[in-house]
Amino acid sequence: MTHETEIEKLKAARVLIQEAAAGLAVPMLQAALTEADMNVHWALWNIGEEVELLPETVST
Amino acid sequence: MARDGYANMSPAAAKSRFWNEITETMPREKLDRLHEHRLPRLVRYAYDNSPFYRKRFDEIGLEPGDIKTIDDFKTLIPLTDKGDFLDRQAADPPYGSTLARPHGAIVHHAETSGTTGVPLAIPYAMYDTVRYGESWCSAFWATGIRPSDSFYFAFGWGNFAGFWSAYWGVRRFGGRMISGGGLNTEGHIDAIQRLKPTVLISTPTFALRLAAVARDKGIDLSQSSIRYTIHAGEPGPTALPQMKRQIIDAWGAENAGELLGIAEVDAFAPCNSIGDGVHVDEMCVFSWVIDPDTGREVGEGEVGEHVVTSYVNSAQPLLNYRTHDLVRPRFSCPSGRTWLKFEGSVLGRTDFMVTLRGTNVYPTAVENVLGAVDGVSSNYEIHMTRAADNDEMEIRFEPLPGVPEADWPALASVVSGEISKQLKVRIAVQPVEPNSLPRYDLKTRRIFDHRPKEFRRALDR
Repeated sequence: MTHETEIEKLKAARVLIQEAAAGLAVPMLQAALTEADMNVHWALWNIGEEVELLPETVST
Repeated sequence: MARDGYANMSPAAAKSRFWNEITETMPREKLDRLHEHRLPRLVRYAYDNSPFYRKRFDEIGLEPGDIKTIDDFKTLIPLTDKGDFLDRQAADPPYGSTLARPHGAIVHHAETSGTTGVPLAIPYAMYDTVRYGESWCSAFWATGIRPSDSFYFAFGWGNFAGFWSAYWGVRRFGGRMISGGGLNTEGHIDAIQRLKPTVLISTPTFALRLAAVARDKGIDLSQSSIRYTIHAGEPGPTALPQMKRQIIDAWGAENAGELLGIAEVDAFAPCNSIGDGVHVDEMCVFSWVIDPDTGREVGEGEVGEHVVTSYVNSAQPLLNYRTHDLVRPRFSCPSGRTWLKFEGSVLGRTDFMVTLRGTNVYPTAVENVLGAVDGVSSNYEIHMTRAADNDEMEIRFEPLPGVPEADWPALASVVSGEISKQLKVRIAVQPVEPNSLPRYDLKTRRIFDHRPKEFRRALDR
C-alpha cells in the first residue's frame, strides 16, 4: 500500500466512524466510536498529515 | 517467556526498524513544515481556550495570527516556567486559569512529584490519554522490546504522572502489563521470579537496588526471565554508560533503554537503537535549545537549555516551557532517526537539581525546609555519595549559635522529619558547628558531588 493510499483509507475511516456515530443514542457505542475516531486522527497526525489539532469539537 | 508472534501485527510491521518509520526518519525540512503548520494552530487553541495564555498574550499585544512561522513562535511566544503554572493553580485549585478544557472533559488527574514544594496538577482530556504513551513505544522498539514481551512495573501507583504514561505506552504497544504496585523490594523480586516478565520498567537506581537485595538473599537475577530493562525518572543508561553496563550485567539483559520525560509535559524523548542519546518525539512536542542566560537559540552541538512545547496536552497547554535541562542538540544520528537528538540525554540542570532514588531534590526546597525549623541557620551543604549501587545524600546544617550541643540530635530529628514530609524522600542530616561552613562572596556552593564520575551527568563531573 502506498503512503497516499494509507492516508486516503485513514481519512475515509474517519468519515465512516463519524457517520456511524452521528445521532447515536447508545452511550456504549458513542464511547467506542469517539475513541476510535481519536485513534484514527492520531494515526493521521503520526504519519505527518496536516490534520486539525484535535478530533473533537474544540475551537482551534 | 517465548516470544511467539506479535498480537495484531503483520510480519512486515514486525520487521520494521522503527516503531513509526514514517516520521522517525522524516527529513528535517518535512518535520519543520509540519511544525510550521501545527504551531500556529496550537497558539490559536491556547489563546481561545486557556485564560492563562489569553491574558499573557493580551498583556504583550500578541495576536494568535501573528504566529506564522517557527521563528515567529520562538521569538514572539513568551517563555513559560513551572512557577507560572503553580501560581495559577494555587490561586484557584486544582487547575486555575491554566485549564483549557471544561472540568467535565478531564478524564484523568495526575501530578508532578512535588519535590519543589506543592505538586503541579496535570489534567488530561480523553484524547491526551490516547496520545500520552506513544513515545514509550518508540523507546521500547529501539531497545529491542516487542509487543510479545511482558512488562514488570517496579514502582508504586499513585498520582505521579511519569509511570502512568508508561502504562499508557504498554497498552498502546500491546505488551503484557504486570503491576508491582504496593510490593516492597523483596516482594518485587518474588513477583519477578514467579510471573517471569521479560521487561523491567523502573528507575535505573532501583533496578540495581533490586539486583543487590536479591544477591544478598542468594538470588542471581542475571538468571531471571528479564531480557530488557527500560528506565526513566533519573539519569539512566544513555547518560551513564557505566550504569548501563552494571544494569545489563546484574539482570543478564540484552539491552537497557530509557526515555526522557517531564511529568507535566510528556514522556517525550525515547532512546535510540545505538544508545548514545534520546530523540525528541516531534509528533508529540516541538523543542528547541537556548542559552539560559540570553534566551537566544544555541547552535547544533552547543550545550543549552531545552525549551519544549507539547502538542499532546490539550487540557493544560505548555508553550515554550523552560525545562531547565541542559542538553546538546544534534540534527543527525547514525541510528537513522531524524528527530532532534540530545546527545547523552540530559547533561545537567540549570537549577542544580539532584535526583535521589528517583525523586528530584532542589537545593531551594531544602533551604525552604531548613528555614522553617526554629534554631537552624540558612547555611547548609548537600553532599552526594554513592554506596551499594545507590546515590546517597547528606545535608549538613548549622544550628544557630546558642543552641546547646546537647539539643542538636533532636534538632536533626526535626529537620529529617520535615524533609521526609515535605520533599517525600528520606535524606540523612548532620548538624555541624555553627559558622563552620564556608561562606561565599558570589555564587554559594551548596552541592558537593563525591560520586564516581561515571555516576554523574556529564556536566556535573
